[in-house]
Amino acid sequence: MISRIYGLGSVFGKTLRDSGRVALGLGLLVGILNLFTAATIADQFATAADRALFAAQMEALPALFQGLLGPPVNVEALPGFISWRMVGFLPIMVGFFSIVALTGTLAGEATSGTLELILSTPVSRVRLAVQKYGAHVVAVVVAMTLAAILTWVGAGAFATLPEDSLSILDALSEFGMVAVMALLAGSLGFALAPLLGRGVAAGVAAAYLFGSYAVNGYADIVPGFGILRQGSMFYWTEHHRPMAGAYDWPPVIGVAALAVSLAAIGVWLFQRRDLAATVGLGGRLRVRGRLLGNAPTDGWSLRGPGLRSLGERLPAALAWGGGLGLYGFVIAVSADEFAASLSAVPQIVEMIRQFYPNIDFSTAGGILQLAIFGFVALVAGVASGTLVAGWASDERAKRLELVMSTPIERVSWFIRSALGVLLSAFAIGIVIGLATALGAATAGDPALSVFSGGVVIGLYAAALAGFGILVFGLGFSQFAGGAVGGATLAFYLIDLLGGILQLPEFITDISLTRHLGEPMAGTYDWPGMAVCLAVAVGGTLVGAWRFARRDLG
Amino acid sequence: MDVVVQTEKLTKFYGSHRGVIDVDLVVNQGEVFGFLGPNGAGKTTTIRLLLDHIRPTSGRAAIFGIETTADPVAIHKRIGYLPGEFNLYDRLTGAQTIEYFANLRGGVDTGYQASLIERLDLDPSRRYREYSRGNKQKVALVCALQHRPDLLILDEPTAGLDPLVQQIFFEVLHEATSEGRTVFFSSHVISEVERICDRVAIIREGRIAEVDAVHELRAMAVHHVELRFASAPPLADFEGLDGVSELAAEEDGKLIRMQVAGSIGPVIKAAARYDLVDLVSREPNLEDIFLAQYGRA
Repeated sequence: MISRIYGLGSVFGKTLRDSGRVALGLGLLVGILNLFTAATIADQFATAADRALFAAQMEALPALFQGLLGPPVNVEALPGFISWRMVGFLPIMVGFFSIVALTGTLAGEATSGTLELILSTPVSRVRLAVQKYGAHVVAVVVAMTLAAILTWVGAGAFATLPEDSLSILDALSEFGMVAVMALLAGSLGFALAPLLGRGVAAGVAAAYLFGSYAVNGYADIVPGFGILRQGSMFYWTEHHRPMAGAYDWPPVIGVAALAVSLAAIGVWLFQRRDLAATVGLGGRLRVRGRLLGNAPTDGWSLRGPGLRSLGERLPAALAWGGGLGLYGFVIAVSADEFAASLSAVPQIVEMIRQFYPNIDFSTAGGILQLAIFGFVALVAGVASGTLVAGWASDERAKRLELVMSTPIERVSWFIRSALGVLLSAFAIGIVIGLATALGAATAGDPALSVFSGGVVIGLYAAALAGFGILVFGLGFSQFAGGAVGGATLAFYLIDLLGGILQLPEFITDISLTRHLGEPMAGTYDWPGMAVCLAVAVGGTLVGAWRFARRDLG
Repeated sequence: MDVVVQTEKLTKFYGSHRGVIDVDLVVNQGEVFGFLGPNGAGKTTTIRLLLDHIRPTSGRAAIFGIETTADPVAIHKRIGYLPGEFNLYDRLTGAQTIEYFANLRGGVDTGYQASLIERLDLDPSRRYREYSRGNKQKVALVCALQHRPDLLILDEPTAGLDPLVQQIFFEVLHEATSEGRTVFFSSHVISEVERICDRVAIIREGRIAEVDAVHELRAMAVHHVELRFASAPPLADFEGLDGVSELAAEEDGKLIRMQVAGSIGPVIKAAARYDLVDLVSREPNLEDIFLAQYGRA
């Protein structure tokens, strides 16, 4: 009986067993981060007066800086601060997990062929899909319950004021909302996957997840975002902050209902359609955009391992760059509104000038550097991880067995194909640079430094790819993509928490994002860029050296 | 006769797990060399060692006189390889996949490439992911054959092919050997090994158990003999004969069964002294030899 719930006794049990470790890891990670945050805030702002001053400063921040965190609610209390600073971003993190899991659970297995076998047993398609979806829901709920419990423990352990107390019910309510929002993003991917295939469905769902987050964050400043935010789940649920004492259940229930409806559509489509058969979206794309659609199959990409690798990954890189570039373009063309919003609070301008003396907030470059550079670098890092994962799959999928039986030196194959990955990762930044530079030019601001910011992001993405290439070369191809994602997240968290937790400099300096300068504002960190280049090139060379000496497969 | 493949005490361990141990093989130019063994016996490990995809724990292997770990590229220039398990590029068509591998090799005769595609009845215009298993196998076969390699290394090459295409494939192999090229043919399908191979190695639990020409292996193996008499002869007359084993009498002694290693002449002479009604001697096939090696005959 237990194996039917967790184990090999049923599709549900097997799915839960497969995703259990990741879910627990995610819950632990989130919970521990919140514990650290609670400890630091309680230590630094121990008295009611300190908290009141801190809350006033946060509330006085212009929208540019509140940006993606949203307006602070009851941040003078420990639970309110955790909710504002930490939980607000969580639907992105958990949503990404949900998208990857729910697009892969059916479409990925259909493509790899395992579903053929499973569906040859007396399990109906509906039952299979429902059990897989249900197991993922349970995994997300378990993860968020664990995070809620750890947050509740943290708030209780480090409370210094009466208002710091947090009820377990409020913690569960807040993290329940995170679970529901993550599941909505995942369910969108789940619904589209039978039609579009795993990759495209995941892309659409991720675009909605990131897009609705950004649109809602900047809706008060960017013209046009006010209309778009109507479709953002972050906007629908922005008044539901149980840890800050604010409750607004109907939108949360609505998001849950929407998630279930999308899941039902996914099940229905999966039940009706041929296994692994997708609509010809790719074909139509090829007609409309020659480079985007045809790159992987044009003759040039068949000429050798380097071009093959580039051809396989360039369309995805251009898509990632295009999405992020569009985001940057919108922020850039709205630079004047951002600048006006900022200059309305002179004290804040003065305060920010102390932290960022080299940034001119009146230019698009300055605004872009403050508002999006870090976030775009984070997503570009994740994108770089997907490129590396695709390249590394050559070994797991045994394509490499055939390729390496041709007269190509191992080192030659490694360096040439890795170069394709590095160039693709770099292309993400170039596209971002072009789009944001166009936005800056449209706003009448200097475009060159903005473009160079994109180049730096490209270098950063290439450095992360170089790290993944090294991991592959060392013989851990199955972990190469994950290693890049892990490093990206680690750098982001070190950067994010370094200040809050007052981590020593030798730890915060590990984060590569701290060494990228402020390029969109025209300030360059040349040694940092040299390090990026060195990691990209060095990772490739060391990986090639090891790859030439190790067993394949 | 030139030696194409030679291994000496070739050994591979994956950590503490056995891959292959002390494998000694010699494959001569122009022959089809069968490599027979059940799943997990070490066939694929041996092939991957020959291709330098994995490195030996000890021992050595050489192809065309070149040590596999010394200059694998020089070896790969002259070989064609079909793995037992593979995947190719989902988004490429069959034609593009074949073109890509032709580009990687260089110098492919496009006329021969086209003839292979036609003879194997492959529609090259479809995307790889849309192919059936058999058609994927055909794509990989064209990739392996299109450059007329001096040595073909084939791991379960007929998996998924229908009988008609199998027939054509065997013809292509025959053409290759008649041109002096060599085939290393790994399989667990005994009948096809018996049908096309000149010599066979049987690998058992990572070690080579037997290597010989197919007809020599047959000769070495036991015949199953049944003698039917009008009246029961004394069983003792057959007990001491050379090569006789597993002697048994049935039907009141009128039917005698035995296994005979080597010539069955002495058995015939002994039987002729009595009123012999019928004699059945079944020639051993490779399956008998194979199963005998695995103790299941």
